[in-house]
Amino acid sequence: MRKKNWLLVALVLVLSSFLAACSSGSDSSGGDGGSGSGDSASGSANGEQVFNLTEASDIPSMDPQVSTDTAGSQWISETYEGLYRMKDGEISEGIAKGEPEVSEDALTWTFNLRDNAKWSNGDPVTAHDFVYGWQRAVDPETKSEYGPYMMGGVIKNAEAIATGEKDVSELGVKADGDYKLVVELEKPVPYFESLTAFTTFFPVNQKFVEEQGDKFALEADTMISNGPFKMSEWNHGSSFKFVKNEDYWDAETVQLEEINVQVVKDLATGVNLYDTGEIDRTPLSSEFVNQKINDPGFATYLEAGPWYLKLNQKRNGEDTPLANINVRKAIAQAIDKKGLVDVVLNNGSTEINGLIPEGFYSNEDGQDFREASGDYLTYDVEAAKESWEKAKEELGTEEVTVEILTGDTTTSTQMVDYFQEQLESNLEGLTVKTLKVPFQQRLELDTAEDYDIEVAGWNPDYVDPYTFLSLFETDGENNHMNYSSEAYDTAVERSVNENALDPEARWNDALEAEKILMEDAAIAPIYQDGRSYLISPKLKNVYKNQTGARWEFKWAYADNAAAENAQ
Amino acid sequence: MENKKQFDQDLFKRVDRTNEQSDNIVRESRTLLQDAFRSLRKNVFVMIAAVVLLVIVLMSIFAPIFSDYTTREQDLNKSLLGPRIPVLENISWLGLDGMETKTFNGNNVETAKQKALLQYKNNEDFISFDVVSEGNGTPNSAKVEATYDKYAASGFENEYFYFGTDRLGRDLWTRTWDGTRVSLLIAVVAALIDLVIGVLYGGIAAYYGGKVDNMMMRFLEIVIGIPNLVVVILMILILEPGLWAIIIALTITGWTSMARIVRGEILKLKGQEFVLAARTLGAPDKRIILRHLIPNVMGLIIVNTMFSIPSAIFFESFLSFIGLGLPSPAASLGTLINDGFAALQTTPSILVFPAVLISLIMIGFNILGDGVRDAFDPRLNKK
Amino acid sequence: MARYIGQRLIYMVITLFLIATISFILMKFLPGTPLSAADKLSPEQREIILESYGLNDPIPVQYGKYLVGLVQGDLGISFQFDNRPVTSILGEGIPASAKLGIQALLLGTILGVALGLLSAVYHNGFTDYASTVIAVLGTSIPSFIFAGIMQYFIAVKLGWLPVAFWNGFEYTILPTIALAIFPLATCARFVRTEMIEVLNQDYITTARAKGLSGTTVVFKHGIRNALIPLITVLGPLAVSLLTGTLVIEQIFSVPGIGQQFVSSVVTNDFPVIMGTTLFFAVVFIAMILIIDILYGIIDPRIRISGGK
Repeated sequence: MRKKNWLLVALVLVLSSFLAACSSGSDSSGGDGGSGSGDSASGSANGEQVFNLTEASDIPSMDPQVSTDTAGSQWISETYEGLYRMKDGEISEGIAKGEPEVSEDALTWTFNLRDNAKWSNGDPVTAHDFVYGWQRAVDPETKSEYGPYMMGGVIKNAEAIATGEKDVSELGVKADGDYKLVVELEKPVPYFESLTAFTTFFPVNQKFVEEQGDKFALEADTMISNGPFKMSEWNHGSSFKFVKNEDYWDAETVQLEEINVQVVKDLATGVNLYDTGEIDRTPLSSEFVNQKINDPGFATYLEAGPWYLKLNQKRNGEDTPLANINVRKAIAQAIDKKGLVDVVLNNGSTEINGLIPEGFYSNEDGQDFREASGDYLTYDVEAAKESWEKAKEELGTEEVTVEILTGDTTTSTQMVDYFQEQLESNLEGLTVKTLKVPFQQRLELDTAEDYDIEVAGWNPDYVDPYTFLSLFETDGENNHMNYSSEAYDTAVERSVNENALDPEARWNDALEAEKILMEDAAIAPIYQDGRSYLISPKLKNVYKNQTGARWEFKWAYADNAAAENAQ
Repeated sequence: MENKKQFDQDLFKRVDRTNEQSDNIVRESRTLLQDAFRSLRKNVFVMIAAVVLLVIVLMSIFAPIFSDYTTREQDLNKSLLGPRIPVLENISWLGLDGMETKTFNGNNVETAKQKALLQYKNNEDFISFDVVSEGNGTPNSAKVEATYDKYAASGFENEYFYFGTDRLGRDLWTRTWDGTRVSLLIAVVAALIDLVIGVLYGGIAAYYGGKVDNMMMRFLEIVIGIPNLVVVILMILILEPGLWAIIIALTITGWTSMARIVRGEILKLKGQEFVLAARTLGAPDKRIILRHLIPNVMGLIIVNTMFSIPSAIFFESFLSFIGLGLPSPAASLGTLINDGFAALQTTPSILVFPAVLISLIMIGFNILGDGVRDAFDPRLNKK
Repeated sequence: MARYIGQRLIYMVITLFLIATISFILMKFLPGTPLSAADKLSPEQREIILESYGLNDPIPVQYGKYLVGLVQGDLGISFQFDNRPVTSILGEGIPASAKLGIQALLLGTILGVALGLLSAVYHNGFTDYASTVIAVLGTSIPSFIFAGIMQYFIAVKLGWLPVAFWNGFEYTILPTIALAIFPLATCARFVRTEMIEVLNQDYITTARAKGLSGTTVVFKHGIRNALIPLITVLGPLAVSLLTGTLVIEQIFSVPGIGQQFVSSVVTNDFPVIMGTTLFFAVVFIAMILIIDILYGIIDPRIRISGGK
């Protein structure tokens, strides 16, 4: 496997008791030295190989090509396997054997598939299954939202097929025999391998899908699997269950027999269930962090999700005050981010002074992008006030009113209260109104560009700065804030066109793009998302990823002795 | 008997009763209202309830004005301080001294203390320990009760937050009273609107009966059938989010329950003799409804109004539960209780004060409501 | 009577139709699409998908199509849970909510009526005020606070009952109690009010004068007459309990229809909003019909069908 440096799961807190609790038995298999849920893998599987977990909602869809959310991508990744699989943030072997053969111009990729992979119905997993799956993703009939998003502009003809201009058979993916997959790309895509570990790119068994028709993937028994686990029960709305898939090509690595997942929406309920030993992992709200910080299962992870304020420069055809760069700078520097992450969020989130999050991407020398790029728009009341005075002069007014649009969760409410007070007390003459709406409505107001400031975040879909940088290109699908900079567009596009094959030049392009974005104060970066959990010491070798499946259970095992020792 | 009392014979003079005199009313007649007030004043519980409510209303108006803090002023250094009230802070079991007390377990006293230190950011100077059990080296056998003086640790020895502070370091005393005023306003206005619409609608439907009743009730069913939540979200997006959007959202369907109760009662009453009598005497419909029927339903109307006040407060808190409540930084009992609920197991003090207050308001309104109902009910014998 | 009920059933269908129509129109005014990844699609791609779902048709056309499906018993396909028929989503949520609702209603009504009777019989005595306080606490403290406290003390600290989930009768106890508090308090208040009034009426005095015992008077002559307003409030209360409550379902992880409905509204899952709305409306209208019929049975003096 080619060593990729670009991913590093930031494991912020590892309690010493974890290490102490590991029994010294020999490591029977699996667990080749990653840092799972906080142990250095010196324990071994013992006792019942069962994990009891929770999700905040039921799985909206178990159809690899249709799924769009985190719960779906989590469990589809456990029941299916694509060309590659993410392990601890790095690419590891999947159905594809070894590295792909890439042509000179980087437009043709050939993957050799293993010939011992099987579907749970006994059929072999072949290149045709990939071709069918990928065609299905862009076929307008499937109504996939992620298909066109993930494949458009990447795989040849994907966009034209999605808009109905070309037939699905013209998609740039072909099977050369049963075990060779040839992919033609629209342009060089440096991060293509990491894309193939995403559910949209998973294979599906044509015969099975066509047999099931409308019912495909709606119930546990209308599902097929080629991954380490298969779904055995699905009580919609309340729970679902996975068992080890004996037909999986690497079944001997898989030690876990059963994963039970219950839907728990209330965080306090989750903590109570954890305390009574009914579940092995629960997310913590800020309230519980202080109380549980001593718990042997307490752990904090930094996600690759940056949160920022989108500053819309034009609303309903008229310039907003935010069209003025000094207003933007003043707002970006007037919020004490440290206070926000330490006191208000209190969940392991960290302040961020840029767009690309920490621990997401690094160059060949192992330098993290965030570190290389440095800090922009840091909290600085003096600078903010200075910009603000200038801005008021330029606008010719003493009173400015802006509205902050945000979501409807408890955290968003507290955050927006905080932003409002910070901005109004630091910037004299500024009035901040707030509007809290449900997610779909927020998206609609965003798309309609009908807001002044929006609290927004973005989760990466593949491991490359382009996943973030493309957001703010002039015609970027997610710009929606009327930001336009020619220099920025040039730098971003250069990184995926001329310089696509030159890692060093790309790196510099990304640095340059971020610098322009920050100097324009197009957005006001606020924090990088962190999550706190209580995780039972019995969970071993669970890997944490930042894209696709957030947790990887293929190599996991239960060390029940460790759990007892930790008591 | 010797001392036989002598009566003046004049006292026994026969009263000359003429027709005119028989119509005279000797004692001044009391109106229903005066009657009601007389009996209200005699009821101790009602008076207590009225005083409590009055105090709450006055506090909700004046406490925020005279407070040293504002409802929105934040200071993260003051985040989550416990309640601390002068004088009362010396009575330790009240828990109003701003101290945080928690029990830590460990193999021995030292490890338990270590845990406490970790929890309280190593502010050793401000933690006092009270060893509950020495322990014998087995896991969690030692128990140490740590008391952490958060006020002193954050350098606010001289400040008093009577109800403590929230996560953002806002004074909960001020926010709670301010929120009480907002909630009372929402609830009372909504309840009054419900009352007027509901009583008239229900009264008219039941009194006229037949087709009118049928049509009016079907319309009411339609109003109830339309999902409230959709209407509320639309309101919030169409109107400026705030007090009025919530009041309107509340009343759009709120009046239906009153209308149905009034209708049910009037259906029962309208066949009774006194209505027949009034109609025979030629009283117009308006008079029969307003003077004969509605006073007889008054008891239920009052009880139901008392109920629509908490349900208004709760609906508002449900809206904040799903994130659609008042815009920042306004507080209401609903938003405060929601914030408090999230911290129920960790900092219960945030929940206690608004919850106690909401209960006091409700108990007050209910006792008052019962008293008023009894007082207004012409059928109850009053001693 | 049969004619009256028949007539009402026809009205029911008309009412339902109007509810469906108005809800459909209002719902379509909710901004936003039901797409789950609308923020990741280009405007053209978004249009293509909306088009293929028929969401770009004029509202009357969409409504027409919906009605055609409805008549055939097809409530459509959910957006939030891709491809799952709305009927099966309702079929999963309704039983849990209904079970909790019925249990809570029974518990709440029985205890509430008992409390209300005690209050009325010992009017203005200590029992009366004590029961007033209990009843008022029941209505004034939100049920989710009871739920949270019970979950923590009874399930976590004492370990007597399960914390959450939905795997059998013992799992329903805590949510049932939490839900029952509000109907309990409501019943107690209304029964008290009515009973006090009833107990002051002449026929009760007559009954007492005949030498009937206190219990007989209260139970044989009193309750029946106090039932009218109780039934009136119990109707909507029963509906709100049967149709689920978001907060309690969330706290105890009950897969009910209440949370399903709220999540369908906030995600613009139009078919599920409509399906749930129709279900709620049917339950509600049926309940009102039952109440109106009960009025006549309990109190023969009430003539609903007649004029003034």
